[in-house]
Amino acid sequence: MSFTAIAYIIALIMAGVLLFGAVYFVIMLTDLECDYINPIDLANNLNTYVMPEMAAQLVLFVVFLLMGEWTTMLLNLPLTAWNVVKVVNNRQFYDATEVFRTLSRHKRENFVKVGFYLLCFFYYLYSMIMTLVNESTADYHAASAH
Amino acid sequence: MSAGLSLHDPLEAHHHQQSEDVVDVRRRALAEIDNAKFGWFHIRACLVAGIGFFTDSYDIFAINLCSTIMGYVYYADATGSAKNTTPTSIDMWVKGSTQLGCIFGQLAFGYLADRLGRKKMYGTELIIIIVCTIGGAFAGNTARGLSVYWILFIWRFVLGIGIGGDYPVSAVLTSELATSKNRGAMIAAVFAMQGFGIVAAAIVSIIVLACFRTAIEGDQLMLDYVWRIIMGLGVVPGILALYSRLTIPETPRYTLDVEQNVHRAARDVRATVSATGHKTIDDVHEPLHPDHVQVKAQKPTWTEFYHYFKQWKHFRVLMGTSVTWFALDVAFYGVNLNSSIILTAIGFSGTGTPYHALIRISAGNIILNLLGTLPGYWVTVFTIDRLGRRTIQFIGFTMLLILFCILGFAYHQILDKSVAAFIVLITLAQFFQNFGPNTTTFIIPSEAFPTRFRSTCHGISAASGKVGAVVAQLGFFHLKDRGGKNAFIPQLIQIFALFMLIGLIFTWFVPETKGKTLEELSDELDN
Repeated sequence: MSFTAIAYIIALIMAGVLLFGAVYFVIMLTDLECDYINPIDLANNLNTYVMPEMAAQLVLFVVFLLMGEWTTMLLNLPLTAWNVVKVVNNRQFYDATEVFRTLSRHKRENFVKVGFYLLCFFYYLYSMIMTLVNESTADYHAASAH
Repeated sequence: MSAGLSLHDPLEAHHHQQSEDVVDVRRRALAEIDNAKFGWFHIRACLVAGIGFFTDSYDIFAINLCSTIMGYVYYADATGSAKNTTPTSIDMWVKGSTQLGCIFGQLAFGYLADRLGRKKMYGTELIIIIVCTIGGAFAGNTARGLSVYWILFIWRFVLGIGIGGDYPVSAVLTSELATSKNRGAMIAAVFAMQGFGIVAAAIVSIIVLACFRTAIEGDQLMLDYVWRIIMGLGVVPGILALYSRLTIPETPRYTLDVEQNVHRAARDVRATVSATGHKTIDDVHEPLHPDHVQVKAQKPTWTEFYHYFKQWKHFRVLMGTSVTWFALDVAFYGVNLNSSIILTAIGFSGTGTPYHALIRISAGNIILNLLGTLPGYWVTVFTIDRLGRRTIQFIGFTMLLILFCILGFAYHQILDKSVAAFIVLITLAQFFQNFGPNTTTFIIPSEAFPTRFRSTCHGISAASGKVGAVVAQLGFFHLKDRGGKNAFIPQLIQIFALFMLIGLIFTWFVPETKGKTLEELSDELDN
């Protein structure tokens, strides 16, 4: 099984996890709105997952960059750039004192992430299937040509 | 409250005050559940409850694929056209085993959840599912008599009991914990996890097959690992959800209506609705009454059940939900009969080397399900609380009736003229099954009955559904080959159209439950 296929399999699973993470963020933010949770608990809860999520996204991006899968890499470029900018400006964590004020912005950002990861999930699924099926067809024809 | 009353006996006045307090607490507790804003708690409830259905459909897809794979392993030495294929008779029983077990599970767990409580039963069925899936993955031949297929049959029969048990308990649990505005969406979302199960199973199959590729191409019998791994991986979501299931608090409605313990119910409501799920400090205080009002618990009895359903206006609801579910499941199976034809048509058929064939079957199934089934589930989730259950069920049955009539009477003409049209029709059929009766027949029984019978009646409806599925699976399996391979299918589809008509007629008997609280629904029925 070629490395591309393995990369897509791992990316698929990661995209699923990241999708779940983004949905969790959205739900937590709406819980804050409905007063089910206070800002300090929210900030502590979400901040533990911020860096791992960015790290996972970065790993995916680097893997596709090194594999030479240009379309996939370009797909991931905007989000990775956005994450890098946030870290450089030290804005990536949720601040308990500010979060109520900037709530709608955070919600919008996380909605967009949900949509993006969903798109990514299906795109990786499609790429994985195409890679595997093309490989098997190529080998099938090569084998039957003997 | 009782300021103007002059009661001679101070204890009587105390009791009077107590009973008003109790009514008040009950009303407030129910209002708190019904009016809670949609939050993480609700999503988590849907996920935990939905794991059972995820595992169910994962497992159904897995057994279909694994039976094919087992053909490559255990019949690799057969000769002629039987080579590499599981014989039809064995295939049919292995695939039907879970459905058979489901019938017993649904009836048994449905009744027990009403008798003993939802919390006591929840988690048990998941344990059965986990144990039996692992057992099935380790199935082997006995030295004399039973082949691996029959051992698998036994394991899967008991697995069916677990999966069947999940249906009534999850549905009723979700229904009783949901807000009345979103109840339909929540239960539909629980059921929609079935769509994910199929896709997940196909993805897992592709990954496992790809990992074993070199091994398979060297030695075909290595496929034995593949089917066992695919089956066994089905337990992972279940294990993740097990802790949540075992520690879920009893639904406040059961505590209120059947156990008549108002204060514990009120505490449970506050515990469940808070995002962290932990009890807060001010909730632990229990009012110190010398005796609770109305201690006699209203456990359901058969006499009560009989008297309740002797009345036509109650019985017709049960009949409606059961017959519609039966009619639907018969046809549900029928649509899947055609999937192999479609797969061949879109170039994902199962020919060639084992690896080649199997990977294409899995990939093709993902495509098929993403087209029709998955969207159907989710359109229902988002529209059911607006359109209503009856509307969607009518739409579904009508469209299915039309589609099956077209397909049944013009089967070969359509196939010869345009395969694309055939695919579109089948996809539409799959879509309208899920944006339609498949989901609504699951939702309505979990709302339309009073608390003390809710789970039993849901179990009865679900069991009649599964009877339909078994009838289709075992009855029509050989019937479809009458007059040649797959030659009887058009007539079968006409029979399914007839069942859709029956379902359409019986939909008149079920009530519309959109937007009403569960108490309103049982009060209406009692009047």
